[in-house]
Amino acid sequence: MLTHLKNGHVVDPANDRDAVGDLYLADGVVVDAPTDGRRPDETIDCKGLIVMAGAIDIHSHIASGHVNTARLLLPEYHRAFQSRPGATGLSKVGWTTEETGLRYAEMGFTTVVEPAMAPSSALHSHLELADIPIIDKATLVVLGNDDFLMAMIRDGESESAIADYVAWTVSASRALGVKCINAGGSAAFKENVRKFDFDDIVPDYGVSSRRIVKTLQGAVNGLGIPHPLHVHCNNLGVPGDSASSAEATIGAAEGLPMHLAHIQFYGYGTEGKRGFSSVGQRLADLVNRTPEVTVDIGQVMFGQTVTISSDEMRQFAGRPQASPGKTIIFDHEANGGGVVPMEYKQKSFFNALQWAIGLELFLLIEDPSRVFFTTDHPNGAPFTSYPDIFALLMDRGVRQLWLDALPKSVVRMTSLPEITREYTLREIATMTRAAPARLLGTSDRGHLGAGAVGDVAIYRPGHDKAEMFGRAAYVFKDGALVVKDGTVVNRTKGRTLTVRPEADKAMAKRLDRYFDERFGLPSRWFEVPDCAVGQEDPFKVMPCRT
Amino acid sequence: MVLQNAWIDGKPASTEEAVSAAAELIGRSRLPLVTGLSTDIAGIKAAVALAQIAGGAIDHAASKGIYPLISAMRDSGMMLAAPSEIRRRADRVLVVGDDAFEDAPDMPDYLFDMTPDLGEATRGVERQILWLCAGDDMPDLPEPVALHGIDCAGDDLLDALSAIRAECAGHQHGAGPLPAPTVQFVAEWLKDAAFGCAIFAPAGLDSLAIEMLAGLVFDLNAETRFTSLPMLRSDQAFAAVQATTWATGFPLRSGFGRGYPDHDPHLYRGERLIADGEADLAVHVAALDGQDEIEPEWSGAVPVVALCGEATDWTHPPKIAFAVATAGRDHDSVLYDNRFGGFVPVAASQTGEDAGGRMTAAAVLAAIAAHLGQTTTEAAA
Repeated sequence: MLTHLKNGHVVDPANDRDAVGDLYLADGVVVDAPTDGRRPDETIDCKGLIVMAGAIDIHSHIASGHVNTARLLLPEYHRAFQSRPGATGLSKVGWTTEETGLRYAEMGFTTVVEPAMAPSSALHSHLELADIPIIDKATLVVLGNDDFLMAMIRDGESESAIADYVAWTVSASRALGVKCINAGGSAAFKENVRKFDFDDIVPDYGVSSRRIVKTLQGAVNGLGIPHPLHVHCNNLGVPGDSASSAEATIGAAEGLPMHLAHIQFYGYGTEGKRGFSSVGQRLADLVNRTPEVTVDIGQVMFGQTVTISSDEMRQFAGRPQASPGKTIIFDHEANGGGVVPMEYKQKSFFNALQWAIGLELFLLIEDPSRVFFTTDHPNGAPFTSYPDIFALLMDRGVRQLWLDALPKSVVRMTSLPEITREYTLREIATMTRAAPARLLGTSDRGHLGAGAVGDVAIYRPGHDKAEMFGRAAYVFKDGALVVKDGTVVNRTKGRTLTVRPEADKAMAKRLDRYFDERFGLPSRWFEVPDCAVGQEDPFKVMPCRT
Repeated sequence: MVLQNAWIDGKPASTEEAVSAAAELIGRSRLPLVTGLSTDIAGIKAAVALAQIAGGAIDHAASKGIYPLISAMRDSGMMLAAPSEIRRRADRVLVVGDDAFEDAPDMPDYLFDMTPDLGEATRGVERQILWLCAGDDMPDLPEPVALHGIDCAGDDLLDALSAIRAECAGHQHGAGPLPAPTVQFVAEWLKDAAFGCAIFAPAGLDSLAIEMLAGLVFDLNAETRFTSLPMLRSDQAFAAVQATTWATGFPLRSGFGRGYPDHDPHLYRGERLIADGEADLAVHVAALDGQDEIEPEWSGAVPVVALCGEATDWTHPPKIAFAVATAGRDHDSVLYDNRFGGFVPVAASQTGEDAGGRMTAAAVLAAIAAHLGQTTTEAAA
């Protein structure tokens, strides 16, 4: 079937295209205009519409045991949503696997990465992912608090042995990349350590957080896994220490690619009478002059949400802020984690400044291909708040309206009122399409050149950017129309993107013994076979660099 | 050899006829209850889909054994461990309730058959276990552990835990079921753990006692590290909790009659729906390997569409019966494993003719749902 998207304003920065023109889809992919006189089976008049590749979210907690625990912990908000849509807390959260796929698709997002999959619950994550309709998915597997890795580093094992372990874990868990979360911090918390900096030593292993991060960064790079090590730094949310941790981590990139997650949560200084201030400018400047580093924001928006993290130390420390006042903390193997409900209040000095710091970072980091659009869903806000964030980035007037509603004490503490930058459509397309595809190594998407997957989002431009990005006029997934006028019309099934770096067979045997002797469990329980996922052909393997 | 796999009113039927008859029954039902749910994750997911399309209610046959945990978790929160972390790290374990391991008989061996090998303060230490409300016949625990029992009637557990929690926090407390020196001893013993864990069976405690225990564990973490680990039954009730939660937002006990998942742990408790005559039909799935409870206690109260892995003579035979392949024995499956604390892939232990050509529970449920959907579409047309 040949589909002709006619006369749209095509914004495709990866192919340097920003003009009115046509786009053709056939057999699930973008194709060149037919030269053999073939007539389209379907033509959609895109005159006056904006045509982009499907958007990619690189960091959104959509499927894991922790995510499901958050659902379990907060039935009240979901129940409230049933009878009073739009009026209650978490009302637009996209709470179930089904809603996650539908709500993302309606906004023109076609690929979403779950960034925190524990190796021991990989199958759980993939079972949930298989139930999310329409969009393609991927996961990052979490290493950096695991006994096996830290013992290898302590024992001075070779880089190639460590790379084999990382390769085995990535392949077995069907991940697209590797994340480390407060490297060594969860392990230290199990030893009753309550504060853990980048150069602190994990008790019993004698290795520092820095060394774990550097080891994993080297292994990921050496294996040719396209997505650089994805780092959740130490001291998230702690005024002063958070910024120091982020700065130390950025400094440790040392010329090799590294991605820092939800950097907004590290943009906190200690100035002012409340001991809480913005260091957005300082962090942005550092990112601007460190080209090997990419970041995503983790924007805070106001309202009820829930924080889900594999940073067990941080989540335990966050218990007093829980609203409602109940938390679940996991002492799992390696990272563990926690679920802490959170209500960000517009009238709260702290929450409002968090909101401003996120936007400062979005706007002060100059290169839109190195800053990524996230709320760290649902930690800063549910992903359904994205349309409002697009409006805030693209329209200074919208920002001013929001600023006018904030406590004056907050406005005095942020440079946001002076920032005049407004994101252009091309910059938005770079940040949410072209750059994420490059960052993830998924060259089959994020652009509209011939051969790209037929993931296309078409928007009706208007003064109200939130309306524009909240309800796509049309969305195509793998060439099939799935959304029309902001509503899903075709519930298709996406796949999960993975890489399969090869590990030496000796590592598999060694891990067989390790899991058997130490865990008392078979190593195959840590592997995700295709047939277990409950979907035909569930995985699409992306190439590693050679 | 292909065996007989479907019956209507006790008479042999083809699978197609039985699927059609089941769909017809469900279509005519005022409120069908989809229950049992002793099956693999594919079967549970298919059951959710059937309940949704049928506008019925969904619950697991043994949800009452897990609901005290669900209620306590979502009312007050909790600190929870992975079993392997307790095996490898816990130096002190508080076992609560004489039935803590009754439904998880393989767990003591799994948890305690080696000395901890992780942690600066815990590696290599002899594990100590304090068993609150130990009962007269504590099961043998593997070496090396030092086991100490404390007498306490099961009904007094909440009061005993309250006193221990108050003592740990330095609060005044009145006379309770345990002598004051015992309370002081337990409190000190807990606080001296380097990485402790409380173990309990949700089925044996009420939600208030679990909340009290969870509060005690949170309090202990002010100074040291302590966590908790529920002992779950192997009936896949927790798998059903997980799968219904991600599919509907809620753990079991939901109705779909309003067109959306309507969750109410009292209103949609399966046994109550049957006992009070609100459900007039049950779809009952009992298809786990080695399952001994096939016929539900309420059998005879409503007509039943039964999907069972083992042939059993029912006291009140089902209206429609399917013999289905058994998860983990006849077909590859995904099951929740209590030692792993999560979902694991399980390869079939026998295949092909040994399975008698039977369909999986998931396939039969999906066929009924498809037939029902088709019927609904035709009626609408």
